[in-house]
Amino acid sequence: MKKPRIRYDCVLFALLMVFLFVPIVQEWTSIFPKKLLKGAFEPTPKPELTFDNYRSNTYQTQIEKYVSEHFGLREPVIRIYNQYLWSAYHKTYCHFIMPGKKGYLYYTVAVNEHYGTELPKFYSSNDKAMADADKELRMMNKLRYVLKDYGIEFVAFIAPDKSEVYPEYLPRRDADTSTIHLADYYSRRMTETGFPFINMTEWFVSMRDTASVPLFPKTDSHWRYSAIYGYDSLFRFINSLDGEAKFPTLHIGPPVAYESDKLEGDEETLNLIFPIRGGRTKYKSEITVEDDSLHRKPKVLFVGDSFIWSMGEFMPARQIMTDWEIWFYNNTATIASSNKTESVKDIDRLSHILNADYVVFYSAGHQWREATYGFTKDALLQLCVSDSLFEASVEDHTKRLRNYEGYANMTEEEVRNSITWMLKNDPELIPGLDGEGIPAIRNTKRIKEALTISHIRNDKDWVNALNFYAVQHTISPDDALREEARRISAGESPLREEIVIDTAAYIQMKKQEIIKGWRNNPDKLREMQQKASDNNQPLDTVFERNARWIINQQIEDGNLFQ
Amino acid sequence: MVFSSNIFLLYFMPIFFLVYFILPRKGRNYFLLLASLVFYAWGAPEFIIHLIVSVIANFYLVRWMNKTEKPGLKKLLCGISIAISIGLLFYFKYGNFTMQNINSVLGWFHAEPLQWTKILLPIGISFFSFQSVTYTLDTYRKVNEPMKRLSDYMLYIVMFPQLIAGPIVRYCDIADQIRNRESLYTDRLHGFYRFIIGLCKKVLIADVIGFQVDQILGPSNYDVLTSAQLADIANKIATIDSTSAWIAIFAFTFQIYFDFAGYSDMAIGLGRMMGFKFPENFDNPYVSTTISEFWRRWHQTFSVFIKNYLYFPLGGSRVKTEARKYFNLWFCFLISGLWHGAAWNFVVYGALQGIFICADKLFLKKFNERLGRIPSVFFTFLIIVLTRCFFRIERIDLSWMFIKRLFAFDFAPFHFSDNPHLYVTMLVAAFFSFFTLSKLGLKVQDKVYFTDYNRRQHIIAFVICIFAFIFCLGALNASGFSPFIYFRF
Repeated sequence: MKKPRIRYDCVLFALLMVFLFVPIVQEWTSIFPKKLLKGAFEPTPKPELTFDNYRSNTYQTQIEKYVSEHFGLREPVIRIYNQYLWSAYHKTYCHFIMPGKKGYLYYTVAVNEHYGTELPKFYSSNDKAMADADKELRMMNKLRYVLKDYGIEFVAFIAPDKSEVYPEYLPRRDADTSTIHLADYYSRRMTETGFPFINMTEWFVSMRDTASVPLFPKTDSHWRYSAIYGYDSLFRFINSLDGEAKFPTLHIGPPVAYESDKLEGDEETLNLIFPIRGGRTKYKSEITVEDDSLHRKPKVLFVGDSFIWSMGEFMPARQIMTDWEIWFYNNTATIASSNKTESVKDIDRLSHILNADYVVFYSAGHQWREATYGFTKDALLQLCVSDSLFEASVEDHTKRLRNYEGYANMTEEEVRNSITWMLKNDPELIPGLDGEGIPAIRNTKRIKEALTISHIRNDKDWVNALNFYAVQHTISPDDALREEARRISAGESPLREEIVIDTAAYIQMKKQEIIKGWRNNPDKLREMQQKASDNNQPLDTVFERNARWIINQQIEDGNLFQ
Repeated sequence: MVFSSNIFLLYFMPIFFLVYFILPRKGRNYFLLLASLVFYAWGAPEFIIHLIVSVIANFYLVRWMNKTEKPGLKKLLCGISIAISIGLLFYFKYGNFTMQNINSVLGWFHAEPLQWTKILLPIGISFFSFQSVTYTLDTYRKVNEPMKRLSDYMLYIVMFPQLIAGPIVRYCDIADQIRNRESLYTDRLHGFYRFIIGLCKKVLIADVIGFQVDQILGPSNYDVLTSAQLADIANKIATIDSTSAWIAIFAFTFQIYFDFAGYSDMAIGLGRMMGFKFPENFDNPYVSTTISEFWRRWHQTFSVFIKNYLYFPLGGSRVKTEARKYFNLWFCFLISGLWHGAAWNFVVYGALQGIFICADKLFLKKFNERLGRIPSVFFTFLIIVLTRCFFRIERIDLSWMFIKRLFAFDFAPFHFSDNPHLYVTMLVAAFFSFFTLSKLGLKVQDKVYFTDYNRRQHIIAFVICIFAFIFCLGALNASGFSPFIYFRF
């Protein structure tokens, strides 16, 4: 019998249809494990299909965006194209990374700053930029002197820019040589005004040819191993000031090279298939901390950009400092002692500032246009301006400006909001903070309260008791702290004396709190529902088990009450 | 919906073809019609009702026109049918423009401006209006019988592959295929290959170049810009160096070709997968030796439409005087320019094309013949590039300023390393634009586009296209999303 002939065109067409359905099948079933691309982005929420959304084309636009973020096999498909762009042209669509020569990666803004094309985007002239810098520095100096009253040193360091240290690998761009570099300007003015600071860019540039290791990795715009030298210098510099607490002496061993497959942060965000050549060698050093029984180890508040994050990886930070906080861009606060990250605006900023021995502002050179990310203004207001003074200033400005053209069409409330915003952005408009001199006014009542809070914070048992109280009364731990401080300030008996910690009850309450949080979080709820369905268990059981697991972890880590 | 969108590529296309090929033959047209309405309704929800109502009205008008024996009524019905199609086109596309100009004139006389609520342009109206006109006129001229079923007529107008950016398929070219067509497996595969070629042209060439053109010249549609953004564009154009200006305008010349030709390839490919044979829309326009030849090769279905339904009715070349002949030619191109957009720059663009066409007839063609083939191709290309300034920059004063910058001889040094992706893509675009200048190029083109493949060739093409599809999907999602230029027209 004649064997039936297989029609190749029919087979190819069938294969084509199968191929066209692969992304849909993958999206619905996740046959291949789903991997996310690296890099932060604002995810598009799944749009709701309503008649109005559809008619206005909003649904169509949003669903297209949503699909582009979620379709099956998105990750490999994008990596393939990215790899082509990188291999053929050294190009990336990651807008904040700019590839330089020989595969070196730089921050786009830092490259623009190097060529003098960044500042003109924000200032019409150098004079205006310098005037703003002068104003900021004047406020930094005011804050410095106010903080000194409470035994706190305010210092700054200009973190090195890779674009300045290794300019030979920068991509070619047309330079605007008439533009000033604000980091240089700040450096000069800080020297002139006596503000304590170190310009690490200059120092790194001077040692780049003699250093035994590259001062920046090829594939990251941040310092990595060389951060050790930077931090060590910072600690030495701070020790040279008159502060009571001192950083212990560090002994840094010779750098040891090793190969690692872990990609550096910037390279990761390129989302390539193959790693960039020459980016695998990493360095580490053994660091020993010399015991110094004469001095207390400091508590430090770091305010600045990402150049502090290498501290955790390369330095034995817990042996060097009693406690530290990182206020990342003055936006999110990572607090070492409680191992928590919170929004800066949600914490009691004054007590956190007054808890420190040193406040360190740092930022890479290219970011000094935004110095100090609003920290100085806010700290000055917190320390010097009482609520009543602020209100009076708002009132006064409202009266004076109400009839100005810009406010003519606003309601009373809008005018007040606008003036409140204006005063927060320019505290020097408030009497007592104006002029060149050191402010004499203080927010005495709040400072007293904050110092009490700071004192309580340094007593772990006290904090635990207040955390128990907070959970018991369903208030936030900060509210409990504030209530305690208020009681002490008012001469009432402290809460601590009334609190008897019942660990079993605490665990139960904590569990309920965790579960309540999950139920109110759609992503977490979905995750739990998925777990429940995967394990064929009731949702309540899954909640219970997972919350218990977290509490057990906290017990193991010795921070149940945090 | 756009062919190069995720929704189309990942959902609409696979699901459509799966259902389409599973269905029995007699159900396919109904499904294609339904899918086409969904396709249009997705992108233009406000206008789907207009479209359906105008299509139904036109169908019955033409049927009545065909049945009636009275020549006067026949003519009247034909006129009404065309008036509906062209009237809607005029209202939606030129309403804002007309009112804007009337108000400008009123402003000169210090009169009160007329009140007018700005209307939105339904996508594809320029294309499906023309198809309606071909249906009416082809039936009127007895070239074809009208469709018996409303669904068939509706399908002819709204068929999604060619609904929103052509090719403008004349009724006489497709009437038979709507009811009787065969979709062989090889056709389906060839259709898919053609679709992928179009997708590559759009995503890997036009979009890459277009991104840079927008960086230099600002967005192409000035209607959506604020006055501050327009001032910024004006400032950019006023200060642009000649090197960047030439790069920008060459880049745009390639972008518009690969964008539109890419769309046409996709439309033709999708049609072929279903067994339709849509007319070709491009025939290597940039290898033309004269502007007349260019217009025979560029957007061919549009040129054929203008020739058959405007130039000939005006008298074509069979007119009493030479002056009238040239006027007819020039006028057709003026209208062509206006068809591309309701703005004066498009009118200038059309008028310029018309002038060059007339110049061709008068002396330019002879001049080009003397130059020889290759120089005349580049000379013609240069004219195309220069006239494109009026096409891309939607304000005549800015277009003129840009042309002055082109010839200011204020050249900045050129650095390939500044944007190798753009320059390599432009070189690739140039290579494929002029590829068919050689005999080998023509042979390869015929082989790729128009010859049936053997088994081995099919397997190679299939594998390449699958990879190209993945690659384009990556490009689309890595770089963002961009609609086709010709959707606006």
